[in-house]
Parts: sequence; C-alpha cells; structure tokens
Amino acid sequence: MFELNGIVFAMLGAALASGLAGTGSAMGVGVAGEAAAGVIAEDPSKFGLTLLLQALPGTQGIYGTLMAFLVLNKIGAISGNFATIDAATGLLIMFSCLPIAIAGWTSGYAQGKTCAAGICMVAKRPGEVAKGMVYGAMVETYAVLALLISFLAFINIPV
Amino acid sequence: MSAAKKKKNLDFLMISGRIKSKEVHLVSTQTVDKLIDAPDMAEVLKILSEHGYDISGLTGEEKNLASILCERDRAETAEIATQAGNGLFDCFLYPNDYHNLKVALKNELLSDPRDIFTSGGSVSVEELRDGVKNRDYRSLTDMMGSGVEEALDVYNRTGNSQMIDIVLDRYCFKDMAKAAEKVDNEFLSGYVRTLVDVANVKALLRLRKMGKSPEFASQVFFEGGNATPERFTAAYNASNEELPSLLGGAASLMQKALAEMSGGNGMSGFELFCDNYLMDYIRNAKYVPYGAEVPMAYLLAKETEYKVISMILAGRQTGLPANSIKERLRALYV
Repeated sequence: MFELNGIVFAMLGAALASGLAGTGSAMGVGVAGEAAAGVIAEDPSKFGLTLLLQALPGTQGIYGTLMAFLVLNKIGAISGNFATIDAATGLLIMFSCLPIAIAGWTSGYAQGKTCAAGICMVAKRPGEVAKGMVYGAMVETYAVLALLISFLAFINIPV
Repeated sequence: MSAAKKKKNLDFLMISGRIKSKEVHLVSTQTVDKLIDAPDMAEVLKILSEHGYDISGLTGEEKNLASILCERDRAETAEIATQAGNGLFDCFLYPNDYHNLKVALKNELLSDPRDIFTSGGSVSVEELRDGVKNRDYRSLTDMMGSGVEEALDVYNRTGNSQMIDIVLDRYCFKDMAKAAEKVDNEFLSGYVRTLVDVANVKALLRLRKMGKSPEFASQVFFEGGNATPERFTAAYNASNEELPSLLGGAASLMQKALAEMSGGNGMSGFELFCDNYLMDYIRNAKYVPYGAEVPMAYLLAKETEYKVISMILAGRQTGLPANSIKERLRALYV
C-alpha cells in the first residue's frame, strides 16, 4: 500500500481540473459541431461563422489545463522533484481546483448548447453571428469566475 | 412508453442545422406576391429555382407544371425525413402512402384507372402498388395492410367507392397516431390530435350541409383527436350555438370554424381557415433552435408550400385575377 500524502490529493485536484473542464469542453464543442456540420451540409460558405461559435465552448478545457499546470508546477511534477506536502495542504490544493473543474464541466456543456442554438440562428441570419457569440459568452462568464476563484484560492497555498 | 428509446433534442442537432439552412429557401409571403405578379412563366420558374426547385427541362408551358415541380422537390423532402430519424417522421409521409393506397385500390376496382400516384411516401409507389395488387403487405405498415383489407371488404359489401376513402383515412390517422406515440414528442402528438380534430370538424360541418344522417357520420369521424368520435356523433344534430360546448377538447376549434363559416366566405373560406389553423400550430416550432420539432415543422411547411405553388400555377394557367388567387392561398410557415 502506498502512503497517502498530500501529493496524491494535489494530483487528484489537477486531474479533476483538467479532466472535468476538458470533458465539458469536449461535450460542448461536440454539440456545437454537430449543428455546424448540418449547416455546412447545405451551405459551405458559412464555415467560418459556425467555426467561431463552435470554438467558444473550448475555453473551459484551456482553463482547466491552466489550473492543472499551475498545480503540477507547484508540487514539482513537471520538473520531477516532487515537493513534500502534508495531506492537509494537498487537500487545500485539491479543493482550490474544484471551482474550475465543476464550473468548467457544466458550463462547457451548457455553452455548447447555447452555441448550437446560435449556429442554427446563423444558418438563417448570418449577419447576427455577433449576437450568437454574445449569448455564448454569457455562459463563459461563470467559467472565468470559477477560474478566478480557483486561482485565488490556490496561489498562496504554502508548499 | 414504447420500446424505442426516447430521442432528446440534442439527437436532432445536425438535421436541425441542415434544416435551418434550408428554411431560408422556403417560399415566403413576399415570394408568393412575386409569383402571382410575375410577367411570364419564365420569370415564375426563375423565382422557383431561387427557392430550390428543380426547373431543368421545363418551359413553363407544361400542363402539369405544378405537379412536376412539387414531385421533384417532394422526393428530396422525403429524404430529409429519412435522415432526420430512421422512420421517426414517417408519420408525415403516411398521408401520401394512404393517398397512393386509395389510388391503387380504385384503379383495381373502378373502371377509370388514373395515374395520380404521388412520391414522397414512406413506401415507394412501385412497392405499394405491387403490395396492393398481390395482397402482400410486407412492405407496408400493419395498419396499411389492415386498412386495405377493410376497405376491400366494405367496398365489396356496399359497392360505394367513397367508403374506400373513409376507411383508409381512418387508418391513416390511426397509423399517424401510432407513429407519433413511438416518437414520444408532445409537439408531434399535439399535431396529430389537432389534425384529427380539424378533420372531424370539417367532416361534421360538411356532412351536415350535405344532409347526411348521424349514422352515416358516425362511420366517418376519426379517433385520436382531442374529442372522441362518439362526442362528434352525439353533437351531430346540435344547433350551431350549442355545438362547440358539446365537443370538449375541440370546442374552441369548432367555435372558430363556425364563426368563419358565418363570416360570408362559405366552405372555401372554411377550408382555408382549417389549413391556416394547422399552420398556426406548426409555427410554434419556428423558434425552437434544435430538436424533433425542427424537421417536423419543415416537412409540414413544405407540404403547405406545394399546395400554395399548385394553386398559384393553376390560377395563372386558368387566367384568374391576382386577387382571386391570393384569396385562396394558405398561410405559409415563413
């Protein structure tokens, strides 16, 4: 049996941030991509417009990866020189990752659905693409806020 | 619930995107005005080609121009129904199948065979014709097979070819309701219920005008609406004032229909009202970004479009004045 120390919790936090936020983005981009493919099947000239909207839900995955990178860097996983941290510190790091993990997962999926609706709108009214993007960006706000809280909670944890 | 897995709105993303692109090409009220006011048939064809109609090889002088144009387009529309969900939207194609069944049976039983089959059904015309001819219904739905058998039986007993229409219409609505149940979508079930209500209200008012007995009318009313056939039969002899209150879920429709008929436009105004009433229901899907409602509304919008184009072309060919053509036109989806 391995010894349960802080590194395990910190690693779990990084995995959740990257994994869950990435899953949300993958689902969101997939949902928007399906709608976009339908539009392109009839009107290939709308590729650029639909791609803009499809890309929006991809940001949650980036936020999660950024958070995971910060954690991995702090605990020395990237350099290979793992820091010695106690379980409480490890838990602190893990909990600091949860806002972006959870909000990234749910908002990525929700944003995908909003963007799919925007893509369907753009199919009929290509001039309104900016409005479709604004609707998508409204969902994005909460992923950004979650990243901010994750970052603030994490940055001063002493390791 | 049926054994089939209920489809979610997200299962219709791609087809919704595709249809939203196609909706741009639907014929609008402005297009209708252009078609009526166009100086010649070449211009009419040009306008229709801008809306996706295949005008290759057509001069505009063809006698059956509308039917050629609509039949070409209908095949593509049926393809969308197939892509939308592997039989999920067959119920919208059933009216074409049942029309073809009626034609096939009448061609066999009556002395004046007519080639008025229509494409765009869930079964190809050839398969359907062979199925009826050989009494082999494997390519048809169970309901279609039973409908043909019952229509034959009733015709053999009564010798009345109108009964073929009545029996097959009844089976058509039953088949549509069964297919709608399989999809388990409230919009679709609501549409089928509204369709049956409209058919029953039409039947009641028409049969009363023709002086038919309640016994005859009871054979005509269809199941599957917001009011049962028994209610319609019981209300058959009621006065216009009390008729709506006797029809339960179809009361409001009956009230509007009676108001329309007394408005001075007669039966043609009433027919127009019925079609527009259905279109009002379908328009609820206009603001659904994706989901089963999108292909459903498109398929129904296309059928209305075919009717409108046929009326415009027929009106132009017979030299009807523009206003008379416009009066007869159904409300469009866009």
